[in-house]
Amino acid sequence: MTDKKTNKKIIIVEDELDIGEIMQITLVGAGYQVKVLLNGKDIEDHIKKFDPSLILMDLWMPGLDGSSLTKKLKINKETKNIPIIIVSACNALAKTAKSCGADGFLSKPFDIKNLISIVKKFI
Amino acid sequence: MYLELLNKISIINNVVLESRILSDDKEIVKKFVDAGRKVLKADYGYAFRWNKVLKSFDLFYRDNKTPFISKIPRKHGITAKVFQQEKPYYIDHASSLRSDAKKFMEGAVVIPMTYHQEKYGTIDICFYDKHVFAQEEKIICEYIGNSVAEAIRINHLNKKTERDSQKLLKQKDEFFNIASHELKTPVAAIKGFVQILNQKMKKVSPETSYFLDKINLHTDKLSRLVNDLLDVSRIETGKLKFKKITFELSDLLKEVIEGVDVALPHHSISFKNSHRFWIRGDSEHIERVIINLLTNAAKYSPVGSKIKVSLEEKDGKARVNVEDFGIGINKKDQLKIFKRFFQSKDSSKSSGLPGLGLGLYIAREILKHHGGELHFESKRESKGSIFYFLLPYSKHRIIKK
Repeated sequence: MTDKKTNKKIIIVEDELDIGEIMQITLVGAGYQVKVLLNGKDIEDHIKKFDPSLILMDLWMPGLDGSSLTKKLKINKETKNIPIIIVSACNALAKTAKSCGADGFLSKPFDIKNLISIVKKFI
Repeated sequence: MYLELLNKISIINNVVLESRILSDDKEIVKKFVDAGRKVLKADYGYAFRWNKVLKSFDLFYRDNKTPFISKIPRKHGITAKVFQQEKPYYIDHASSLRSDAKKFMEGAVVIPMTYHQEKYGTIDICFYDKHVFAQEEKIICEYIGNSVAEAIRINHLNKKTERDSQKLLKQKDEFFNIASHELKTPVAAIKGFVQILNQKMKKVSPETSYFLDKINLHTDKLSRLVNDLLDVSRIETGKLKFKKITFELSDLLKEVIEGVDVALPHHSISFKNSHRFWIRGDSEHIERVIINLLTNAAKYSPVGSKIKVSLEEKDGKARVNVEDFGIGINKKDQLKIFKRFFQSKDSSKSSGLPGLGLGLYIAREILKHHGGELHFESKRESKGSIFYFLLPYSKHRIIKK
C-alpha cells in the first residue's frame, strides 16, 4: 500500500458491511478518499456533497438494485460522467452490468490487487 | 373365427403402441376412430369429447368420409346415455335414431371412451346400411373404448410429468442462484480480510504470511466449487453464458500454468509449445477447462511426479494434451468419467480433496459450446493418463479495427 494521498474520491454502494469495509480499507490504503453507503437511498445528495470521481456499486441490494440505480445515474446529466464499476458475486451478470451502462465489472470474491487495478483504470 | 378376432385385436394393439409417441389427444382419438372403422368394416366414424368445464359435448374429430357435421348431441340422447353408463350402444336399424341422422346411417355403435374412473367422451362408428353386431364385434368395441381412454390417460400423465419436471428444474435453478450468491458473500469477506491481513503481516512475520496465503488459496478453491455447482445448474437449464472474444491459446496456457503452480506445489508442470492458435470464444471458460484438467492430473498422480502439457495441431484443430504419470483410469471408470457427480473410487488413493465430481462434466460442456471435444487415453499398467481437448481455431488473429 502506498502512502501517497490523492484527492480522488470514491463512493462505495454495498449492503454487505464487511465487503464494504474490505473495499474501504483497501482503497484508503491505496490513497483514495472513500465513502461507503449501505444502500442507494439519496445517492444523488451524497454525490453532490462528496463529489466522487468513481462509484463502486453492488448489484443486488434490498430496495433498489444496482443496475437500475446505475441506469438512473447514467441518465442524469450531473452524474452521467462519473465512472461506475459494478461489483457482483454472480459472474453471469457481467452482461447486465454492461447493458445498464456501467463502465466496469468486478466479480466477487475479488483479489484486492484487482480491485485497485480496476479502479486505477478509471481514476 | 378366433383368428379373425385375434387379428382385429392385434390391429387395435398396434394403435395402442403407436399412440404412445403422440402428445395430442386429437391425434390419438383419430387413430382409434380410423382403426375402429377398419376392423368393423364400417363406413365412417367421428368422436365427441366431454367438456368438463362447460358440461357438454363438442365434436372432437370426424374422418373425411363422415357425410355430415353432426349436431352437438342432445342432453338425453344416445351419446349422453352411453357416456353415463359407460357401455357401448349398438344400433342395428335406424328406427331409434333421430330424423336428421336417419338419412346417413342405418347401423352404428356408440363407444364410450372410458377406463376405470377416466371418462373422455364417445366414439361413433357408422354404417350406411343396417348392421347386426356379432358378439366378437362387441368385444372389439369395448376393447377400443378402454384402450383409447387409457391412451389418453397416459398422455395426460406424461404431460403432467413434463410440466412438473420443468417446474422443478426452474425452482432448482432459482435455488442455486440464491444459494451461490449467499455462499459467495462470506467467501468474499474471508478472502478480502485475509488479503488485507497478509499485506500487514508480510514484513512483520513471513511465517504468518505463508499461512495466510494458504487460507487465500483454499478460499479460492471454495469459491470455484460454488461456481461449479451453479454452472451445472446453468448447463442443465441451458443458461450458461459465453462471451465471444479472440484469444491466443498458448499464452492462455502459460498464464494458467503459472497461476496454478502455487495451488499444485507437489507437481512440476512442463509446457511444450511451438504453435500459436487464435481461438474465438470465452477465455475464462477455457481457462476453467485447463485448470480442471491440471487439478485432476495432480489429484490422480503421486506427489513429486510430472505433469506434461503440450499444444499441437490435429485434424485442423488445436489440440491440448495434459499428461500425468499417476494411477491411470480403470476400465469401469472409463465409461462413466464424464458423468455428472462422478467420483472415482480410486480418488481415496490420491492426494487432495475428493471434490464434487463436476470438473470433467463441466469441461466437456464448455468445450461443446466452442465446437470442441474432450477425450482421454489411459496408459497401460497404471502409467497414468492423457486428457486432451480439441478446439477450432484460426491461424491468424482477426483484428477488428
